[in-house]
Amino acid sequence: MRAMSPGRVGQGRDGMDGEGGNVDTLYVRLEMDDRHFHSLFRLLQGGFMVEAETGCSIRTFLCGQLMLSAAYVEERIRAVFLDGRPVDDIGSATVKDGSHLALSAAMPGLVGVTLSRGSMLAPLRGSITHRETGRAEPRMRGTVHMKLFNLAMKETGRVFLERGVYVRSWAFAAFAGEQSALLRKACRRILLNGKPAGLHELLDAVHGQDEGWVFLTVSGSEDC
Amino acid sequence: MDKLLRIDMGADGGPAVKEEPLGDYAGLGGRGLTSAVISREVPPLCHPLGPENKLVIAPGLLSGTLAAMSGRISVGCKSPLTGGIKEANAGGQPAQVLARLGYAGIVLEGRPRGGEIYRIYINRDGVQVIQDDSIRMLPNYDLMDRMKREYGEKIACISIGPAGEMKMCAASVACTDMELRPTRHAGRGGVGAVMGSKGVKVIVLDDTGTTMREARDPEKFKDANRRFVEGLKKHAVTGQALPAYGTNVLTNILNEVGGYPTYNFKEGRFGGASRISGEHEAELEKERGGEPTHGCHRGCVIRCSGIYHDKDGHYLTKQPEYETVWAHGGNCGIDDMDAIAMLDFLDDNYGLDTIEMGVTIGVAMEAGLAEFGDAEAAISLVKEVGKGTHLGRILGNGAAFTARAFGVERVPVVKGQALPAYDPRAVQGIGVTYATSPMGADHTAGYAVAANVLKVGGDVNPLRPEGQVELSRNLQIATAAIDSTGMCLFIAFAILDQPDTFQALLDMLNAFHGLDLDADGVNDLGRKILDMELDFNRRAGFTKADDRLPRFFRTEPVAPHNVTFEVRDDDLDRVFNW
Repeated sequence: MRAMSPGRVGQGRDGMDGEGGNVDTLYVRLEMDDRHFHSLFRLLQGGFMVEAETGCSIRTFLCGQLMLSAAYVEERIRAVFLDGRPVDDIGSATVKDGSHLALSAAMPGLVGVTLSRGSMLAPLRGSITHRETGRAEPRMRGTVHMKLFNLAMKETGRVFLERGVYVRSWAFAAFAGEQSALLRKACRRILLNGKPAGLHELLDAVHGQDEGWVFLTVSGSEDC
Repeated sequence: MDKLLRIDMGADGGPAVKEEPLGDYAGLGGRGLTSAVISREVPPLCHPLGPENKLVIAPGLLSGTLAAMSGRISVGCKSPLTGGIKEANAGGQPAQVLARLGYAGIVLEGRPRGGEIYRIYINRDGVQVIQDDSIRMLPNYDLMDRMKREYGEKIACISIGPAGEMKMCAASVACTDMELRPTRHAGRGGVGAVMGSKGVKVIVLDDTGTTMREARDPEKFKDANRRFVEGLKKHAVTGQALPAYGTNVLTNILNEVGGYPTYNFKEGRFGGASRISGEHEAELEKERGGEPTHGCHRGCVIRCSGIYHDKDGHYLTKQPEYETVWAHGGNCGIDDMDAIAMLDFLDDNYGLDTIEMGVTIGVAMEAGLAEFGDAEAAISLVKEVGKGTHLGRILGNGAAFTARAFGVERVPVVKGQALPAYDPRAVQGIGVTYATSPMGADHTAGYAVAANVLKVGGDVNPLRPEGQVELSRNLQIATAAIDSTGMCLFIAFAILDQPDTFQALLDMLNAFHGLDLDADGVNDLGRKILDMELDFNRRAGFTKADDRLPRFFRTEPVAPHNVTFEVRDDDLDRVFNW
């Protein structure tokens, strides 16, 4: 099956994709060899944060805020979890400031099918299914904790990383430590808070603030 | 494939071989055949390791043909773990080879009187049963090296490791893959112990000089197979998710919904899940020169298996599957993929069910034999099993036995068999299947999700609370039927969503055997198999009280959703009311 284009992910909040830096957030920009771009996707399964307008349905959030194509979301995002609960109707489930949202493509297994949205086997997980409270949520700028799994990670990972994501410093440090050989080979350029930096400098910086955040943006190029 | 091979291992003067026509068993394959033979021929009250029990090995109805995905083999007996009827199945090469040799099944009967050990060699010229003490207690990988030296590489083998010879209740029956490695296991229920009790260490199958089985209507069969393969390839699960990540793609998802049993079922989420996920595993395999997409038998088009290399780039084991990664990983608080892969190798080598062993180690950790998260200790405990030390003998007999030995109260078993990797408090419907399956807690019992295609038991209203019971019933019926075809259960995802792919499967069966099977016929077959299994268990002494989950699932809420198992007992008792 041909992979569908996930669409274009919207840009980050004005000023938040910049290079200024503050005490809690390190701004890291990686320019990667395209051939190794996918190696960074694994970071996204552990969790990251995006800023966008909240108080809308999941469908609006994904398509209107993150600019994933409606066809892609409908056909390829077959399981959606809001605050750890499987969602059946992404048109009515509301994303709030602080929500946790995870996306997955179709999955194997009885339970994989059961957890899919709108599954005829939904009764098998009725006790944990997401149910809307009916309270109207204010539309507001907020943060949403996200995870991307399996083919959803593979197919949308690039657009999220190009847009920029917030990752916990400790998680980025662990990942970069494990993947240091790859980063050394595949990174053409590293910018740390807007200034060119080496891999050691980057690792030292993220290790220095375990409780903070890294705002990570990645660009790819073919001629590294 | 019109004959049954019976070998009486306890006959006067040594093992006696007899071939006979299928008779009343004609038209049955896989689980259908194993359960029919066991329910009819084995005294339900016999000791599972005694001479009255039988071990039946049966390829499926389409094994040995050109049909894609037809490489499952069923192994049936009275289980030493559950005390009830058992069918465990595996992939690998033996189903295809055994079917091409013309056998619908092998029935091992009796028991050697002096504890002798045998290898059995079967080719187109006949059957040799050879006493061979030199292979006693060889681990499976070493045994395969010996068989390759002796018979060459164009064979397929069915074997047991030391655990089977020691008649441990967690012992598996190993089947070789395309590389002649003993990586595919009929794991559940201690079937390896029964093979060990028969004194059979290995069955070597050599189909040299044989041909593919011929369909009654070759053109229709070929066309149906083509449509079937197209259906599998175009489906997002069978065509993409499984090839890319294998079954371990489920780790992240189960963890996200709080249904990932952690620390011996104390919690529903594991902090280290992303480090042992299918996504992580596949990347690791690629980085080290392994392979995340690999078939376990010829004719597999899904290719959900893989090859796992160690840090130095050397083969360590096949790609550990979701159940294995969970049992030895999150369930024991271990997030080290290399340690889990080592545990997978040890289980395969000693011949152990990875689910039973992982859950057993979790119980042992709860008992204080090791700390949760201590990967080295887990490896040491499994090595104790392989060595057959006193401690190892306890662990090798499974979670329930270990819990009794060490006074552990939280014991995640049904009918003595360890629960698989889905917490029934979060996904309650699967708890219904765990509780009621005649096999004991078994995730594959309700795996074949073809209920909407088959309409078995009528249409299910998903809004009704009793929908879980009806769905579990339908799923168990459908699974029993598919288990008889020899088809890999993973085809279920494509036939769930694509009625034309299900029809292609029916067309294949009909064209091959000259049948006129429809969805109702599949339904009837599934019910017939379950009826035989339930009847055996009733005669073995099982009652409704055995169709229950352990009490703690009702009394201990599991985080993060703080839910308990709430399906009522009288609803569980309705599952098989038809």
